[in-house]
Amino acid sequence: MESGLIIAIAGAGLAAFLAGIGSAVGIGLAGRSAAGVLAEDPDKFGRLFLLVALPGTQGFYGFIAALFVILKVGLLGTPIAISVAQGWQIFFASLPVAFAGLLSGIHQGKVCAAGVEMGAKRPEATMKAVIYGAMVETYAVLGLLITLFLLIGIKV
Amino acid sequence: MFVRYPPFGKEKTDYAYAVGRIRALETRLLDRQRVERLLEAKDAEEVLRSLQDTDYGAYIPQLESPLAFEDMLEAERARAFELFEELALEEELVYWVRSFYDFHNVKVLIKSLIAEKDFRYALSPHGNIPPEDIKAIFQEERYDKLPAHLQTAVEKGISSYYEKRDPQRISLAVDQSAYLYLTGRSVRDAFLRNYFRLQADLLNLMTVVRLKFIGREDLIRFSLLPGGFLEIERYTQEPLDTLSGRLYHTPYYAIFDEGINSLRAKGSFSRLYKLMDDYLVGYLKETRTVALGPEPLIAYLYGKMNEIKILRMIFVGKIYHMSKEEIKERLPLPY
Repeated sequence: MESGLIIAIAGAGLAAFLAGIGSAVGIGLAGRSAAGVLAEDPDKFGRLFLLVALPGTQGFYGFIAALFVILKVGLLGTPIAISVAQGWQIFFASLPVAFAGLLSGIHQGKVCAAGVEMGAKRPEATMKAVIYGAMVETYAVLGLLITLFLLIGIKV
Repeated sequence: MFVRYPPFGKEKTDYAYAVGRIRALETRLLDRQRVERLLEAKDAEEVLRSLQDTDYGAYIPQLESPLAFEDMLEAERARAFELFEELALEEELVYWVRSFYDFHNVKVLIKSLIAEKDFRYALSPHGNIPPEDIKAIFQEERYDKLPAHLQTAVEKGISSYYEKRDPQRISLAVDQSAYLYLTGRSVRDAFLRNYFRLQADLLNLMTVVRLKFIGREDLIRFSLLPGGFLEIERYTQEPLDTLSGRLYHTPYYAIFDEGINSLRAKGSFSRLYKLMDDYLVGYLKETRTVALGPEPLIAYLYGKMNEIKILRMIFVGKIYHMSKEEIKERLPLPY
């Protein structure tokens, strides 16, 4: 395998696994908070579900970016020959979603955990907490968009 | 000096589950409206009935009469401790909270020893050392079995009694040992440590006010607790009239300004006690903004204690046919 391709694959891997870690930690936090609330008040499952699921999106964004790289370099069929420079281009293009996903996932988890706790006290305000959580989401989406635009822009 | 309350610890994400559970439980604490309704009750029996749908409801069928309310309160306190122990991730947190009750038990047992009476009913089951064990230690006079900090408290408690043969000195000497221990750097949880430090400040200022009010200023220097935020010696020489003004730059100004005025007007410390309790409840309420950390857990436990105190006052007030206003005057705000 050519070094260019190896570097591109490293980029794809980074996007998937860093954003995935962000989501896993984020859901871990919100999920634990929700479990605490449900231990005392099981009827709140439906209301809290969205807040627990919200930090999961970063993992998907990382997955989409990685898939995009895989398709771009033809890994599912015959790999396209790419130079080392192109490999690095793809690598760096993968970083925005990787880091935005990692950090926003963790912080979104914290916001959602706080939202879950608020939902325990004021169930009627749960949707407001979802909006706060979604505000953190913006930056993961921006990271994904930049990664996708960069990947589209790279000629292979 | 901090403006209103001292800052506390850093975020601890491991507490996500515990805080979630606490937030759900907090919805069941008695709020102001509920306390107001309890005050409206015509007697203790009606207070009990109004508590049917609260956390206390489960204990009511076992009560023989409203006069046995103390059993219900103790059961709820025990439940709160159990929950705290279950949710606290650091054992030392439980240790420090329970330590306070070890000192309480030491105080009770020294008094029993000196009065040659059995005050066993006053022992708290919430110390680190079970009541039977600590009682046996005192009966056998095997104080060496106690941890060093409690040995010191026993020594100081007993020797200070024999200095003047005054039982009040026992409480004072043991409290001094307690606050020295509980406000030390070994208490790593800043929220808990600061809670004890705030208590030390408030109790000290209260002592200064009380002793000045009864004209026993000579006792002040023996009666102060260590560990507070204030350099309390700076306030001990101040006359009662100007004491609150001297506290202007501290967060305790409002409490003592209003409290001392009320003391002068009515000759009663009730308002001052209430304002002190409210201030501490306010500190506990600061944890409402903490999403991830042990602070809400500690605040819930002390909030529960405060609630139990409120209920005790209401029950006692109703049993002794006190008016709503009389009870309310001393009643702290609920957490």
